[in-house]
Amino acid sequence: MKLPTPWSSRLIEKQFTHGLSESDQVKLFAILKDNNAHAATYQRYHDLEAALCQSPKPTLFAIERMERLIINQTLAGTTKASRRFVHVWLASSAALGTLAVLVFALLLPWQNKLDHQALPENARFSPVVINTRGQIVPRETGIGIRVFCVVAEDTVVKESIEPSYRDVLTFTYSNVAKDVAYLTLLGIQNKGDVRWYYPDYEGSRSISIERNVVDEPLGDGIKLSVNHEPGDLRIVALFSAEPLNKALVEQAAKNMSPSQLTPLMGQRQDVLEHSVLIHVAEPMGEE
Amino acid sequence: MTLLVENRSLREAFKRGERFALEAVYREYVRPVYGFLSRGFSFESQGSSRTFVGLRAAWETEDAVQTVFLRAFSEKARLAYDGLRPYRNYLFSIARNFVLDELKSRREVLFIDDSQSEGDQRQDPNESMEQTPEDVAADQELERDVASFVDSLPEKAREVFVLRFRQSLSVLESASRLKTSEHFIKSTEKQIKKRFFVFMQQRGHFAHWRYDSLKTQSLILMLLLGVGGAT
Repeated sequence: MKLPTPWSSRLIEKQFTHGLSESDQVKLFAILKDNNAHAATYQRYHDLEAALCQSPKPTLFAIERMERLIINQTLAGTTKASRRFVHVWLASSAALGTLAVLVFALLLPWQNKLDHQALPENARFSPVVINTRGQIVPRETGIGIRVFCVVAEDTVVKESIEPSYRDVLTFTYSNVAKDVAYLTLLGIQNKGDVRWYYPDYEGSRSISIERNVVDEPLGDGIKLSVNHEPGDLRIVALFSAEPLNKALVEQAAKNMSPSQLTPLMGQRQDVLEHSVLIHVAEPMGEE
Repeated sequence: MTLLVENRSLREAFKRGERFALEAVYREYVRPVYGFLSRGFSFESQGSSRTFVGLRAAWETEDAVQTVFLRAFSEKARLAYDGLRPYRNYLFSIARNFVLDELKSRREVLFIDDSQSEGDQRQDPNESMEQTPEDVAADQELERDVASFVDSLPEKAREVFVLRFRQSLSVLESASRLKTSEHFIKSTEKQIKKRFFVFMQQRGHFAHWRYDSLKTQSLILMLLLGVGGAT
């Protein structure tokens, strides 16, 4: 599966600087299997990391990277289907692999894959205008998200802006709550139409997140011109100790209007919910 | 290396799947498992002796280590461990089965028929290539640039660097030593890594690197020795 180079390169860099979520790591390893240039870059980062640490391999950081995934998945009690996918992929012949990718690509709604993109180099961000009366605040203040709009490099960043559907959004999260280790982030438009951010459309459950962080960037840019439309967009962040099943969240969002002020997951005590309502405007001159 | 044999309460907690026990077992055995998968091992197949020469690429080894521990930490495998024999051997047998079951059909994984390799069965493809003067110069340059990067770190960052990167202390231990928060340690560490990779990029340590040391050498060795599947 050959994904856009800048995105793949960013994943590699992030693996060695910030660490990746489980789902992104699985994606990254599938890319490396298929792409010698990226595998070489990964190896180079790995060797440089060892040189910096002056330690035999694996370095402390490699040990911590592997540990995060192993412990989280063990405690979640499942061997991720996506990991199995990597190994099935690895074991298959090149021809079968190529065929599988083609079928996979044809079966997936193609447009769903395109709303996530790498952020531009030196991107600048502006906070997005939040409808304060449309906010669902969490029971605990230790978690939350912020929504930003990517703006041109020469833009003077205002206090906050209303995004148009030609814009790209990005998110940060904070997590200083006790026992929160997973995040599910999605958008809801119209009557319960779900736009998946984390996990993305291919993922099956929440992503693991860091603890004790404030305004930690999630990294991807979300193109509003793909999968979204002008109008209200509710962005829902669900923080939990255990990963949530995507199908369950989708079921809860069914028929939910963006302006509805009911928590998506009802009164579930094991889920902390922060939800904001924003408006996606028609771009200038197209209204 | 007899952690679970000697420590009964840890063994019980491990069997129950408690986080602290899983972490302790992982930390104790991750290096041996990583080494086992990197170095390879010999085995018998269809009456002949063969050698798996080990995984070369970092990502492959990390992926394999994760899979081996995920298998070993599954409830079924935890409960199946008798607590009498060394856990290391138990892990190695899982690692061995993983390699033979799941990776043997990949051409990148080298299985050498020992009868064809004339006693040189454990030859490491990387070791078999002598370092050229250019390699030596590149290593020296890398060493100099790493030292120069470390010198450029501000005092506070250097304290974090020493504890985390050189002494391999945990985030918690480092925070306690420096009387600061874990968040400070983590964010400083991320900044150091980011700066380091940018620094090395500017010094050309990414541009001149070629993907030749792993697969090319392995493939040459395969051609020379006549490599087949494991079965």
